[in-house]
Amino acid sequence: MYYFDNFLLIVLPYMALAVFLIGTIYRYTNRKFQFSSLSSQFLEGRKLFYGSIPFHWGILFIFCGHLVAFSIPNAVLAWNSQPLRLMILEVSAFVFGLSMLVGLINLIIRRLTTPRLIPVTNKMDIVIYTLLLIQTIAGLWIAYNFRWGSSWFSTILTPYLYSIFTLHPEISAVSLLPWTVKLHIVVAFLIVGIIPFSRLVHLLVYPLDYLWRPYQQVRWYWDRKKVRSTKTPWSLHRPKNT
Amino acid sequence: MKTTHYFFIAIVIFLLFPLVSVFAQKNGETIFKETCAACHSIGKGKLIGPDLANIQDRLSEEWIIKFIKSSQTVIKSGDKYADSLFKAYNQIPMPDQPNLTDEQIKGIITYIGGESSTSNTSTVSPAALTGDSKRGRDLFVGSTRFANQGAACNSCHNVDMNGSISGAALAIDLTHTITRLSAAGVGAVVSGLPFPQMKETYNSKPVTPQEIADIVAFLTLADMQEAALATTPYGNYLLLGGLAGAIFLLAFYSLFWFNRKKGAVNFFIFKRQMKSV
Amino acid sequence: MDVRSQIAMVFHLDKCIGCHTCSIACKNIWTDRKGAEYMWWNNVETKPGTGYPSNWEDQEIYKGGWEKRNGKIHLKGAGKRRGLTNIFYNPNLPVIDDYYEPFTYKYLDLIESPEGEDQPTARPVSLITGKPIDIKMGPNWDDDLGGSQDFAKNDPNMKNISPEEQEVMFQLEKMAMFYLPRICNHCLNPSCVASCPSGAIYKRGEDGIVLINQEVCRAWRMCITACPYKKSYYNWNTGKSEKCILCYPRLEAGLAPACMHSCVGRIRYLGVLLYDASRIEEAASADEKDLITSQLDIILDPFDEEVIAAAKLNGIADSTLHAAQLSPIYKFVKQWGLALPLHPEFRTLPMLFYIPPLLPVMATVKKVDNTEQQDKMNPAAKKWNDSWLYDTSTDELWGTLDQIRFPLQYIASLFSAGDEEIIKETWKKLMAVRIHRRKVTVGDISDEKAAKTLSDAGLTAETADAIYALTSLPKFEERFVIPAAHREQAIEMMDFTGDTKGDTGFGIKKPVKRGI
Repeated sequence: MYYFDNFLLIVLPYMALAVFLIGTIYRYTNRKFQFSSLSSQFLEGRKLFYGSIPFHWGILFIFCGHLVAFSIPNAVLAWNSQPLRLMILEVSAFVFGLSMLVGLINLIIRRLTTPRLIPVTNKMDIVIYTLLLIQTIAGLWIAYNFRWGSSWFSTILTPYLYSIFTLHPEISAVSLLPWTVKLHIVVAFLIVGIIPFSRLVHLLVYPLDYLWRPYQQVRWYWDRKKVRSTKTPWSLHRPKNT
Repeated sequence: MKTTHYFFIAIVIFLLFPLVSVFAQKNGETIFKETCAACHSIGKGKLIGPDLANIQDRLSEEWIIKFIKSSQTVIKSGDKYADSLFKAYNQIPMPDQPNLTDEQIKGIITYIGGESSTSNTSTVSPAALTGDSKRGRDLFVGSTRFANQGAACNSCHNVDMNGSISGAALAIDLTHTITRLSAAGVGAVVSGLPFPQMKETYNSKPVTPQEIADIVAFLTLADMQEAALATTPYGNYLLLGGLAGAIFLLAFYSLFWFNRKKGAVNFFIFKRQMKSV
Repeated sequence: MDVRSQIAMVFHLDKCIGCHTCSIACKNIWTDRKGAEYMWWNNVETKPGTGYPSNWEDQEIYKGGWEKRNGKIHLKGAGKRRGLTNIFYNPNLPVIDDYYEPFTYKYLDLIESPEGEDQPTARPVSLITGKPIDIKMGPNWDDDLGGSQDFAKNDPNMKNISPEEQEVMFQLEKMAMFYLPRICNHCLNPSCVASCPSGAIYKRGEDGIVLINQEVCRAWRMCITACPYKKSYYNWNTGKSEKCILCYPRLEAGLAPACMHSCVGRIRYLGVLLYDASRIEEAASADEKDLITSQLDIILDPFDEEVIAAAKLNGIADSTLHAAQLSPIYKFVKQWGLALPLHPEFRTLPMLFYIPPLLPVMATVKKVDNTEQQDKMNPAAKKWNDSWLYDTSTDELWGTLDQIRFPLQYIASLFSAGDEEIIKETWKKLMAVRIHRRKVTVGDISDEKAAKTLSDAGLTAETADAIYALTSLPKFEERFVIPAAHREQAIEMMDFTGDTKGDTGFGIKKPVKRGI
């Protein structure tokens, strides 16, 4: 058990994070063309609505929830000190978790039953579907069976994640958690680890910069005025068009 | 995936395996204070677990190592002595310590041996503070926060009680905890933090002695009045609320995007077309 | 004044014969790839018709282009807020069935089938799934008014035409059509660029060509809905959007784009326009009826000294300025006012202009007494009992304009946001040129009548001759005035010449290393 827990809760997370970092940078720099998700809405647009929308909005809220519990655990505990607020938090998290599950199941059914999607499905998609399904079900199971996860995440899992990120892994508390929780942690890191090899990279390039970009974009090979000026020195700067 | 990817993985695995053994080699004293002292004293009387003074004379080193690593395994293997210990101490299992190596446990035993010969054998007197069960209840459910901002007890524990939110279901149900442990035992657990999860939670945000007394008072009350206290199924509220909310959310999605394009423009023309069979 | 140059185009619709040579030229060069089979960067539609993709003009379905709200223009179905909320599911995205499912035939079955009782057939197979399919639609499924009950009748431009007029339009004897070739308009205010969340689409500063950077495109699919002309296509195989690149590699080398070069009817013109980039937003936000005027307003006179000075200050090369002065586009669009943008109400300021077709308009169909003709006919010949006459006479000077076979509103909704006067003006000019030339070449029209037509249309004889010359007799280099494209700059974009300088030569870019 000792080595097993060490492997699952220390070695695997570090491996996943290292693979994620190196792999993502490598893919972004060397295979930029592939750095997106292969949208299939063009081939099948009807069933996708009840898959993509519930899944994405669900996972967006759930992910942000985990991020909040990770980054400001004390605020979460303070919020949870009132039963009503605790219930609001827990129920809404559960709602979005269910939304994610419904969406994911719809997406899987859609992909399995639409012949046109077979040519645009690869093996990695199946791996992702499997992992996400396990992860979502495990998450909901934990939320229901070991209730008030928002509270104990903040007290037990946040220190564990901190210890991982500060390179002093401390798993004595986590290793005694129920196996579903451990499964949830392990699959989470597995998903992080396969991000660079899958379509999941698209979540890293969510186009937030669109918000502060001017609508129209005009690009020039060179600065037209500068290039004609005798004062501009010859430079080795490579003009880039990205 | 190209071979380069596998190459990366291989390198990463290679680099990370040493981390397994990165656990610092702590000496017996540190480990004892961190891991054992919450429940065990050396020559100062029994707490939750027995006094360990001179244990090296009473038991074999091999047995101690086995018991520390997994007490339940020893008990289940039919060891009479282990079983009697378990029963004598309210059937509270001693947390497994699989992370400790044989050498470290030997270190602990050596430390205990050293301490036994020097310490005087006076027993500790339990804290003489009187607790307020009402405040204890507030502290337990979190409506009053601990002075040091530690998490409320119901973040992990449940106590069946009417009129208040159910506690969490992660850790053991505390409704009858006073029966199983003594009041002093509960106090010792909260102050000594023998269980890793509790240690993680309260180590840097300790619960004050007065708060411990309050909680113990509340738990004592709960233990006695359990029959009068009905459980409110908050877990079911969560499930039902979640399902209702999810249905509402799905309805919201389809209303919010109600004007979406729902199919091909020429769908009806296509539908009319003959199908070759 | 921020003077920029733009490669603009004019398509002369009267000359288009609907042969699809342009489409084939384009397909063979650019879209003969997996995932791009269904794309026609250049396509030719029959009007009236629903076009490709079906009903692309109906922005209630696809929500493309810009709309004016509270005096400012906003993207209709995309934009910052909508784009990011709809990023998980684009509610207005056309699907493959709105175009057609690409297919081929199993031709090999014809040759390799074993001997049997039945004639071997080549079954159609989908180019997406590879499985046999029932072909439901193809490119130009409604060509030449085929299936007009399903397609032509659903033309979105019909929405302002009364049911009675529509019924008249679709009488077999009165039916008329024309062809509408379409490529990307390389707009001045492109909504595809504005809608792209990842910023992959950009307008090339030097010549205004709108391009998609395939490395940056992340398949958020907003441009596909945002382009009101549906000229940005989604490649389902690569997960990238693709669109007409105006054959920029050819342009840079001084060649006309493939579709234009191959045009059999020689309907296509290409040249430089100078425009004032600082007034783009103002022009695009004009009232709907002023849109054409405001768009023409920001096109600058390349002979104006002030414009030339400002252009030089902006770094526009002399060769480009020279090309702008010779540009056939400037003549058609600005000098003569003959060419109009397609659907100016989308407010993208398209840089592809159309000369509206006169042919279905010029002639009228009348019921006449045919007994005299029938008597002359050989009894053995099939008796001509048809009393309809396709009348192209010019006796009533402008009468035909009111009796046209197309409701004027139909053409107006295509080319002038519904303003019939603009179309009338243009048609008058086109007819005046014809009448003037008929006087010159045939001589059966009196000088006075010809002069009156010209003055009514606001043309002089010289202008009419010039229009005639550029319409009917243009040489290749008059149709395509392509400025030196400064290819050296374009090449440096992809390949920094400093890299190769001083290296080994023979195209080897890596420095020679020996030993370690």
